[in-house]
Amino acid sequence: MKNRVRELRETRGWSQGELAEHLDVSRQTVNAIENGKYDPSLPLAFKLARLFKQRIESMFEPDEGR
Amino acid sequence: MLTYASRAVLNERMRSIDRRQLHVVLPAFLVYTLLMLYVFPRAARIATPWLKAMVALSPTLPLAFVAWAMVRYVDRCDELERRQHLEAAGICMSLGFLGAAKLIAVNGVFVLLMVLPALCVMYGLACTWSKWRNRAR
Repeated sequence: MKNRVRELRETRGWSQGELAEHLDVSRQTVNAIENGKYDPSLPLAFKLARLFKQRIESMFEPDEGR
Repeated sequence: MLTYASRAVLNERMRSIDRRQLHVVLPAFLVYTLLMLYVFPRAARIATPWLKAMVALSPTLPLAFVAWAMVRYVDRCDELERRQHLEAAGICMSLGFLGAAKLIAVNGVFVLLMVLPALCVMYGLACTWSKWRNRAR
């Protein structure tokens, strides 16, 4: 799944570690989400959307053909 | 230990739950090792049945404590880490199946002394591999 997490994080000037602290997850999890290696659960996706004041569908986009 | 080492290799910060887990698990494994080396072998020479049973079962106490600590630790991990622990547990179970299918030859004494450390090393290696796959590039 494609997402805009890295872009939104960078506009706030946060490091992956800082975003991880806001979300109460490990930095590795933030990195895996940003690189599309891991799709977050619905509660974590909502947490991200709320943190960046975005709608979930504007942050995450399913890959073509999936 | 390998799990913690992998965290250091990946420049991941050591969280309070990691430190607490280390402080709980290391003494428990030390107690387990001492019981297995010095107390458990004496069980065969004890005549009183209830005392013999207690001595023979004594190493299970620190193990039960470690199991409880692991459940608590995984419960406090985030969702990706829980998946990594599940993968690691799956790899450890496959090692057990290899032993059950007699693909890995083990005798009685070896089983008693080495199976737990072998499983722990396998678990640590599997966690390290899983974390390595998700490392920052």
